Amino acid sequence: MFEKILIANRGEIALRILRAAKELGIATVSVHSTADADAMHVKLADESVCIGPPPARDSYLNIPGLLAACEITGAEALHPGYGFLSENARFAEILTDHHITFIGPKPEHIRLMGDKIAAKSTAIRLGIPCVPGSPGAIASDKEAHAVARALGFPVLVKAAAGGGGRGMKVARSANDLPTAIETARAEAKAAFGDDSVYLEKYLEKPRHIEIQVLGDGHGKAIHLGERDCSLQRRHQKVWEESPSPALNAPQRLEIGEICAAAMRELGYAGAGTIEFLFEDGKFYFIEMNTRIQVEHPVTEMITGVDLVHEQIRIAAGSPLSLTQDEVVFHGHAIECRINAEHAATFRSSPGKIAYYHPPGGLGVRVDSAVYAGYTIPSNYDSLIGKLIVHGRNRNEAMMRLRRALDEFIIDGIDTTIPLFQTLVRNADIQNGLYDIHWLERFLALGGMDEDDA
Amino acid sequence: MRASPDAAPFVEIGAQVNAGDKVLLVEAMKTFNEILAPRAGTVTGILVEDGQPVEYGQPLLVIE
Repeated sequence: MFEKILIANRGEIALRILRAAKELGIATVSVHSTADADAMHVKLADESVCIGPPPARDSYLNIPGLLAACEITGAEALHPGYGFLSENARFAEILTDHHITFIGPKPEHIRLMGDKIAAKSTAIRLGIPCVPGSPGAIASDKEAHAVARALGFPVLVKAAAGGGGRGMKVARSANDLPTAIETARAEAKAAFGDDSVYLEKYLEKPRHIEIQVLGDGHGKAIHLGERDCSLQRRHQKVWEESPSPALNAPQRLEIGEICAAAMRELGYAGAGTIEFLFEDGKFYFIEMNTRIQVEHPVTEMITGVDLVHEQIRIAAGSPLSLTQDEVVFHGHAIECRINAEHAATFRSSPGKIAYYHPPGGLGVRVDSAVYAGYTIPSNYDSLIGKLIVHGRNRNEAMMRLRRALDEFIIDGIDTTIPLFQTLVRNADIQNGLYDIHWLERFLALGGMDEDDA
Repeated sequence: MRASPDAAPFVEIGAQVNAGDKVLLVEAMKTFNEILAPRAGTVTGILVEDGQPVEYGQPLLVIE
């Protein structure tokens, strides 16, 4: 096992990793920008190193700075968290060259899954169900028309290098197709420097369901069930829960085993998430994330498995701490992402937290790095905490969530807590009847009153 | 001051603007917020540099 690890991240996930390391008896090194000198992940770490000025490209993405921080502190391994350098295969290779262990998958698997076309062809090879679409990048409008006719309209034009909803356009008819391709190419070129696009069947009202996997890197792998992340705004997840209200036990075991078997064949190491759209009882692969995800606590709450512990153990060469038979699902968990944003307009709201009172009690978990008197910098994203509740069934979890949200006080800035207070009381949400478009439609129809929020 | 690093600035000194024209972008928490001209007039002063951090209530542009 490692003696000391460096955490190359900030905010709630840096604190989350720090907690796991401490529980494993590993010394911790935090890194921070000058804007984060007062951050909780710095205060609680055994050591900390300032690696640059506020902009992320000069600090949290500063590879020479991170290497130097590992060298001067003697950290043997680095945990990248999510975002920043977590899915940068080159960074993982550079660390290996410097004899520092990257706590994450093998670089070739990060690279494979980071390229959407390669990821999809790999998924097909591994027996993971995919959305029907073009076999590769589209070379001409003529090819696009032929593929689209075969799939049937509507079709989705997607950037090969895309992500976060950029470089993605729907064509509802053959007339729309040239414009959709041109726009997607332009967006992809501007955002990713690569204008290759491909086509997929467009699903009208799918849910987003993803499978959590763990692999030991030597051909053993397990799944830890699904998370339903269908409540999204601008392709960003807002609310995640497990089990999904839309799946039954045989469906869960079937897709879970398909994913675990695929990871065994790949020799995948560490934690990963295989994301699907789910419509009419069928799963369609979207992408695989080769990192710990924001919503991982939902899985931890229903399985009792600490996923960050597992990541660290696997990176140190230890076997998985449990077998598939030992994965047992207990009850229901829901996570709400608390953002520093106005709950109706979503205007970002950095600034000083005047008063902070997190909820408590049985089955309530708050993963956050903020505190009373802390100033949320404007340089980074707006996620300031996650409220996760667990109950013996979905109804108990929903009532617990309602109670916990009403206890949660964050004064001085706007937060999205009022949005969740509205959602938890909504009949569709209570009945689990929502798809990936539900939240956008609800908001567009004035579901959130600007004065109440 | 501009839509992308290579693009022309939204406004320069002497530019005529109408109420509602986009004159600046303020980035907060990785989101770009459009700053629209509150009224029509001529831009007579630009009080900030590209990429400069700004505070709540700080004057950014003079329109006369």
